[in-house]
Amino acid sequence: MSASEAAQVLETEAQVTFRFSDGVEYHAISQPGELLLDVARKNDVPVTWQCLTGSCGSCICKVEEGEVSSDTGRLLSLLPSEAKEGLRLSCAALADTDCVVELDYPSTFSEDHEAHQDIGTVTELEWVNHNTVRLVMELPEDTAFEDFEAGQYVQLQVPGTEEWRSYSMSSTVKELPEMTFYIRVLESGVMSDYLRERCQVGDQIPVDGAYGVFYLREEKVPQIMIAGGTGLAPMLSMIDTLRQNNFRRKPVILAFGCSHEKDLFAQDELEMRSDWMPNLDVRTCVSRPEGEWDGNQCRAQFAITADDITDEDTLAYLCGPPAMTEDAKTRLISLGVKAENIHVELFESL
Amino acid sequence: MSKKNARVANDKSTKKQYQPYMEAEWGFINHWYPAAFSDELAEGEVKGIQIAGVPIVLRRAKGKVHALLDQCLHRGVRFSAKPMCLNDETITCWYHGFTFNLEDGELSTIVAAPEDKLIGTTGIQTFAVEEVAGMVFVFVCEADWDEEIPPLANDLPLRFPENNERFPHPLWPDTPSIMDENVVVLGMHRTGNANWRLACENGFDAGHLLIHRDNAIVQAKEWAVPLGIKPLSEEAIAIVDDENGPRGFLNRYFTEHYEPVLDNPILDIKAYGQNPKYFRTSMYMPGVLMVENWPEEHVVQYEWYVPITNDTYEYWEVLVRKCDTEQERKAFEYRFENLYKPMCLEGFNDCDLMARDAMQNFYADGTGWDDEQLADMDASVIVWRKCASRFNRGIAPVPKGVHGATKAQSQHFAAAATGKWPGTQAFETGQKYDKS
Repeated sequence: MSASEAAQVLETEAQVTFRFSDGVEYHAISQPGELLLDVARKNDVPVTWQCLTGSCGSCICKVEEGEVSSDTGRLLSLLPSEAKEGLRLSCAALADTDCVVELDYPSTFSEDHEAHQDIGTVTELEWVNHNTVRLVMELPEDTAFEDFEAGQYVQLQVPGTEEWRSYSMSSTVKELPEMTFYIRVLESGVMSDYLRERCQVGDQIPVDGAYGVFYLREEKVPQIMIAGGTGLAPMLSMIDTLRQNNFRRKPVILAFGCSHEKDLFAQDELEMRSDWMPNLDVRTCVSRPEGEWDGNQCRAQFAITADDITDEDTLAYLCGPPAMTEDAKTRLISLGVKAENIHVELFESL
Repeated sequence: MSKKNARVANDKSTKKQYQPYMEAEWGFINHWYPAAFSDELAEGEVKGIQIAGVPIVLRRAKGKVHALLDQCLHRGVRFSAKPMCLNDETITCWYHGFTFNLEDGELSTIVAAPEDKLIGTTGIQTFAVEEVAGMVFVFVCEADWDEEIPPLANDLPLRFPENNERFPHPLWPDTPSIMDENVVVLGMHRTGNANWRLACENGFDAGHLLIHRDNAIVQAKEWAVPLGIKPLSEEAIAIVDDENGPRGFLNRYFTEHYEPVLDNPILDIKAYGQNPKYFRTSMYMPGVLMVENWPEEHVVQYEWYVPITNDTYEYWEVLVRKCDTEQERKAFEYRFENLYKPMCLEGFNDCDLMARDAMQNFYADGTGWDDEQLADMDASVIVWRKCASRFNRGIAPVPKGVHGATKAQSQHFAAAATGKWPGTQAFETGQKYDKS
């Protein structure tokens, strides 16, 4: 549809149906020019959202019927393949016609996962490679975070600034009040500068969350995880949760990739988890090895082959740079994984 | 040496390696555990036990032992609280008459509501049972277990002579096994008030021989029991990780890899006793100890530390001996009654029971696992924790709605008042509540 046609359509109201994964539906009227998320919020539809700027991905939904366009004037974290499949970020989407949008989580999710605010105290700061730190924080004993799902993220306020940044926990609720993160330290950036120059054990960091709909769906089917760089963090949380819940009878494959060997980290953690879970197969990949590297020489998604898709209901989780997740998603679909079973964490590299 | 600089055998990175073990507060699930001695369960008898937080009711009907979840799906009471069996095929809940098939757990009828729509649509979990050499074993598994059940032998100690080459024992004859033909198994079980892991670790801990120094059996037989046994190399402990067999580890005692500590000149204390006492400990999933050549030649002691709750365990001690003739059997039974039971399983091992209970306060809230300071003598403790982390088939979930899930002090006191303190005894079968 051309822009002029779209503009015409928008002159009228549209009936929007929000359908949750538990089958619960909400109906609401969208006024011309109204963002889908605003429609939902105005009508108390329990959708999840967080950043409102099109970057966090929390407000993702899928168009099942009708026309829903994306606000083209904004930079969105949605992958092109996702847009093509009908996925939209509702904070930047407009109902052009009557439509049905699906939410890939139950209608009770928001209520069960309210955001909390706490102050964490840094207890460990460990450089795990040349540009990645492992940050461990201790929250108050009575922290309300015990309802977070493996794979979700929180926002951390960079001490001494008004800036907030999002990071996935690599730890699980069982480790609370301790929370662990793997954070890439960039050349510059508010959090990176803080971690490199000022962060000390004992520092206090405000925490807000948990957020996101990238979380472990614990169906008893084979699980494939593809992680690039610090995209490993939510996978560690998911693997530990699977183990704690005795998920041992279906395979779990983790493909973890970095460009160079020096970018790898948490290898000892992964080795231990392979020892503990006979069904866990960790495939570490380096795409551009320098010198001797006897592991997989490819990007992580290429460590998954057709032989790994043994069940049509296989679930997949992808987290890493957008180019990687985009490519990984296309590959998994071509190998036979259903698009709706592929969960992608939209990765910010601020 | 300043406290800060002391080397700690279990520093943070070591601890991380046995994280799953630390999580297994209620034990491991999807394993075989001893549930009763055969003679504790006569024909028709019902007995309630709890293993790894799972309440289980045992009933022998037409010779066969059945094990079902001991919790009625209707209002959650234990069938064993007041056993009611109206035929050989079922168990009936004494409260509202819900009746379940022993074979598959299905709700087959309700005493006063034979037309109820629930009938045939629901049921309770059943568990696999094996009865071997006078012991009843139950495969305690999660409700959704849908795999083939591993053989009982995979959750029992290594056997001999088939492992003679791998683990030679020049100082004693082949160790019998509970699975061997013509073996007689004699023993006892009782409840200990500690987390099951503390009990396991006491079983093979090489440094704890000190608590047995003054034991009557040691004095009477003048056993040369060392003050302690010190591992000298990695070889001291052999990991047993058989594809289809027992999994655990074996302490290579009385080889060049272990050194007995016979005296401490600083304290002027020496091991006494002139009679060599050779033995060897090994430990297997899900927490079964084998002490070979113990208490005497041709006899082996097995111990299980079966988690009941997170602060009680059932301590099983059995002695196994091959008895090919009736005469041998009688002689073994006589020695069991008059020497092994009073002086070994009770006298000697009472000291172990006391030591485990004594650790409980420190570990009860979980902080003890972080605050303990293990030393070189504890190498096998760390090996066990790592083995258990790798070889378990599942961590028992923290249970809900069962004995011990919430710490109800009043129930404990009530149990104590009836002389049934502590543990499962209070939930045993056959108590007549109507005292008229």
